[in-house]
Amino acid sequence: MAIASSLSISHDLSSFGSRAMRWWLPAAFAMPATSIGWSLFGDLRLEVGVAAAVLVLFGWRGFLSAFIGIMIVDFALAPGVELAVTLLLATTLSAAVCGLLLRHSPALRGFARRAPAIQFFVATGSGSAIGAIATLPASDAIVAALNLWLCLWASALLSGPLLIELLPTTTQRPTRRVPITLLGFFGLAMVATINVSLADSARIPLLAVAAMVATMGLVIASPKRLLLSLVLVLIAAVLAAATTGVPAFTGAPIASLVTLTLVPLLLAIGQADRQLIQNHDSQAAGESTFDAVMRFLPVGIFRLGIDGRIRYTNPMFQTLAGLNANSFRGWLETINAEDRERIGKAWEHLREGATAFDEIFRGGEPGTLRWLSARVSPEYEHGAVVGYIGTVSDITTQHLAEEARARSDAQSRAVVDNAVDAIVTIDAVGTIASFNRAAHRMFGYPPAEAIGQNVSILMPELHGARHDAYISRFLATGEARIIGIGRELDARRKDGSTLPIHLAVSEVVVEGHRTFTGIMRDISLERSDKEEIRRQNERLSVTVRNAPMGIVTYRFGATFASTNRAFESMIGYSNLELSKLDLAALTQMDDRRELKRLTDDARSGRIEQYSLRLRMLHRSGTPIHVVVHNAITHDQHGVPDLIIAQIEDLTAQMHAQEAERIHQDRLTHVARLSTLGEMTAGIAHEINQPLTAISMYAQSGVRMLDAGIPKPERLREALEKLSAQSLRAGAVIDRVQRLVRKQESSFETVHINELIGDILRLAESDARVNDTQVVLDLAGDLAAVRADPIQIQQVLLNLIRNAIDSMRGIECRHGSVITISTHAIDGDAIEVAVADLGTGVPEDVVEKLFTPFTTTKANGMGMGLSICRSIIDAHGGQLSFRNNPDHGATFYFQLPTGHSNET
Amino acid sequence: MKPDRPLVHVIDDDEAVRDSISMLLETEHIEHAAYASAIDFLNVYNDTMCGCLVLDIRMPGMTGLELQETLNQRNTSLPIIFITGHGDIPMAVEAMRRGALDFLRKPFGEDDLLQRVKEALTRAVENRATLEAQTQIHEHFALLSPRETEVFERVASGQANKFIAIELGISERTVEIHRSQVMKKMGARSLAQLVRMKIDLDRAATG
Repeated sequence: MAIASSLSISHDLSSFGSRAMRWWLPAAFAMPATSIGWSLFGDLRLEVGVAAAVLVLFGWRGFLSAFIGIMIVDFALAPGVELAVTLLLATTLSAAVCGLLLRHSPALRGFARRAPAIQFFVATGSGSAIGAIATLPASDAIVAALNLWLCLWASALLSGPLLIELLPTTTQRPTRRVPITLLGFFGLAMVATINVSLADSARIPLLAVAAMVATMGLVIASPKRLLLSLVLVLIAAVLAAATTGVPAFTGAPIASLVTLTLVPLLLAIGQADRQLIQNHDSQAAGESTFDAVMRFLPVGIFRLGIDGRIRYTNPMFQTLAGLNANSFRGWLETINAEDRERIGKAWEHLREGATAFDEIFRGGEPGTLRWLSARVSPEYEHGAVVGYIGTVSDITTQHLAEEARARSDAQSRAVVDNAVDAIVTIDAVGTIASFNRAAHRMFGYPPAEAIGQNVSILMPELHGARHDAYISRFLATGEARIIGIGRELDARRKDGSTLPIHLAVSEVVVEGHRTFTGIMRDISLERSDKEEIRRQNERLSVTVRNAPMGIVTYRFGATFASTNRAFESMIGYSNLELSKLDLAALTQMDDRRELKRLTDDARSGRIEQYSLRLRMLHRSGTPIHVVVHNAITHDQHGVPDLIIAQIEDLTAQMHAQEAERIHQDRLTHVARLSTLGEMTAGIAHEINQPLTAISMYAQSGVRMLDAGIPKPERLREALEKLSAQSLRAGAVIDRVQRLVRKQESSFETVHINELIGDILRLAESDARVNDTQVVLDLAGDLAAVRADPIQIQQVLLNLIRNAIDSMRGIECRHGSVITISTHAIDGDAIEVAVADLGTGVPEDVVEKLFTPFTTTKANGMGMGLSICRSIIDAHGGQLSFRNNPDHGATFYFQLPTGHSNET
Repeated sequence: MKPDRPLVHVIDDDEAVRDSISMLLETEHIEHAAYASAIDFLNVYNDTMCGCLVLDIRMPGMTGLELQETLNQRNTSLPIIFITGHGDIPMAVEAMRRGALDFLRKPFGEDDLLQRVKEALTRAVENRATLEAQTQIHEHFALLSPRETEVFERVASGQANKFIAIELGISERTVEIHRSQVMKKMGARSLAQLVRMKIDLDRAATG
């Protein structure tokens, strides 16, 4: 319905007026206008427009009031009943047309919404024009209608800003009030002037304008402005008269009179109304205040009938809900499809008796999506629901912010909740504000249970009792004991058990509220780890302290960092004294350089561990032979840092070794003598040969001299040969003496073939004595070996002797030949073999051949081979034997040549 | 058979010993020859050799004792003076048992050696004479007829002619004739000489 639609729009204008004004103002407006129209034109063109305008402005009630007013004037002034009927029809028709126009022209409607004044003039103009067309003769009617139409349209356009400024239809008021107002009045004056200049009679527009100005003055209820506008109108009229030559008041004295008479009346009425409003305002919250509040309220307000139809809405509701809805259902159709069903259900729920409807949903077109929050409550009258009243607000901004915050909160919460550490926040008085999942696990309190309690529930009772005091102290003094530092302490679980935790507390001030966030880590494992480490350390330190070997630590170039008991007793200083000494100070001067060299190497990282022999000095000055095994540890940057040295006292060991060596040397010597003893015949022979020769040569010389005929050449020859033989004898004795001499073993670089040649001179005579032939098969270019020549010769002699002996028996029928051979093995050893053609080693002796006191000889000691083996062992070789496939046995040994490079 | 001059044969593998002994012998103008081994000596040896051996016992190849054995088998009467740097008693006894003249331990005095050498040379001459005499006896003995041999056997055994005659079944006179014939053929000037010849022959037969 067009009229219903315009009715809803009319709220815009009517809402600012009081209820009383809505009833009598239209009539008060319409009646003088109608009488003016009759008096001026003799017809009803003016009141038709007025009626339409009233209908638009004030709605049905206003129109009814105006209509009654107009009817009274009409019937009083009109010359007949038919005119009154015509009037009625025309008025109704114009209102309908006006309403249709507004309804079906969105542009016009939007324009009108923004400028209700234009709406007013459109309605007035349209209505007047239609009225004129309907009631006047064709030619006059067209001219008059067009004239009035144009006049009103121009007025509306020009005075629009003025009215916008004057009428509080928008929340934003123009600030430059005076110029716009003046412009508006000036505009009116210009319209009047134009009308006058165009019309054959100036009175029509002039008076029409004057009436409207008066009406405006009434509406705005400002006497000063009204007077100003009247003055302007008069000026305009005078000007018009002057320009057109038509007297301003000619033919219209009555109209002018009526107008001038009516003005004070209208003023009085306007003032009375203003007074009424002000009184009303002062007594209670005035209705105009209510309307203003409704208008300005950023919340949409709506009132629904029991049937759900919308009875009342404020501008914000229309903005939020759109203009098309006239029922709650209709409105729901416009909201987001996703929310529609839910909201519909909530609405049905409310209608079925629920006490509240509080929903959030999305409205508006896609792209301009808005989040709306609607609350609806039933309205009761005498205990029965008579309707619903509700609010709707745009919470898009808040909702988006809320969503963002919710997301960030959810993230934070997820972080907090899933944190491994327990996170608990408390407020300034110690009340738990949040309690994450880890805290739940750690303390056994579900978050819901913990939140709201004092944080002291998490502390052992002693601390718990004091905690409030701690917080107070912190708040009072700002002196932090834990905050920002973190410490380890005990916490209490729900079941009363305690656990060690590490607590870090941070203070956060949010919007002036201090909160404390405690991050707690269960350190019972760490603590048990620490305990384990402590125990290990203790075990280690006890072990080190009581180790039988000296163990010390020191940093490069520093004194001992630690020493153990074994070292202290080894060196004769106390722990305290040693802490002021370093390793070098305790080392004999000769060994310090080597120590320093290796230490420097270790310090530079070239070596990680090293061992060296040192002679250290006991406190008493006695040298101690030690071997020091050093291991380097590094600091966190990987720089060599600490030396851990194990010091082994070799003194006793060396003494034992020395004793063993002496014993071995003695034994070897005895064995050597024994061997030589067995060889005395050969040795004697070897010495006796040159002695015999010496003796003979000497006597030859003597006899030559005695003969008295000395032959110097012969004598000389004899003496020279004699001398040579004495040297020969001496050499034999030397050789024997070397073997006989009791001396410590000493290693030299020797060539094995030379050794063999040397010993053979001794052995040969023995061999000869025993009819044994010695054959040599020596490899050339053999590497030198590091050996004790005497001991190796002893071994060779022994083997040769044994070979000779093995071939002396009667049962030996294969000749008596000894073959001594040498050859290199694999480049780093040489092998010496002594082979014979004797009886070989009997089966029953093979096993124990090298054990002492094993012999096959009638008068053998059984020491020879045993000692030979130990000698070869000491040289890093091995003495073995094999029975030859044909006859006899071969004894052979290897000597390493690897050491030969050392000298 | 031309009798050689007596020679001292020095056999020793030790050159110095050999040389020095040679020099000593030279100062005494004793003729000598030196050999480095027993084999060397055997290579030049012949039965008519006269002189003595200064022989080292221990030598590679053939030892002194082996050489002695060889010479003994050849019935040589060269006296041997053993010299040794290794004088063990059993060896010395063995050498002496085999007829060595002496056994000198190195080193020995030059007088000892020279005395023994001279002695040996004398012995060698004697030996050679004895040898020659015996050779003669054998030669003479070979000339005897069988009857003369029978008579010689019995005369030399000291039997009276009468008993010989009875034993042989011949007359005493015939015995006397054979006897004188034997004496003549054997070159014996007396019964005693004949007896000695008989002993020599017997010894040669048994030895």
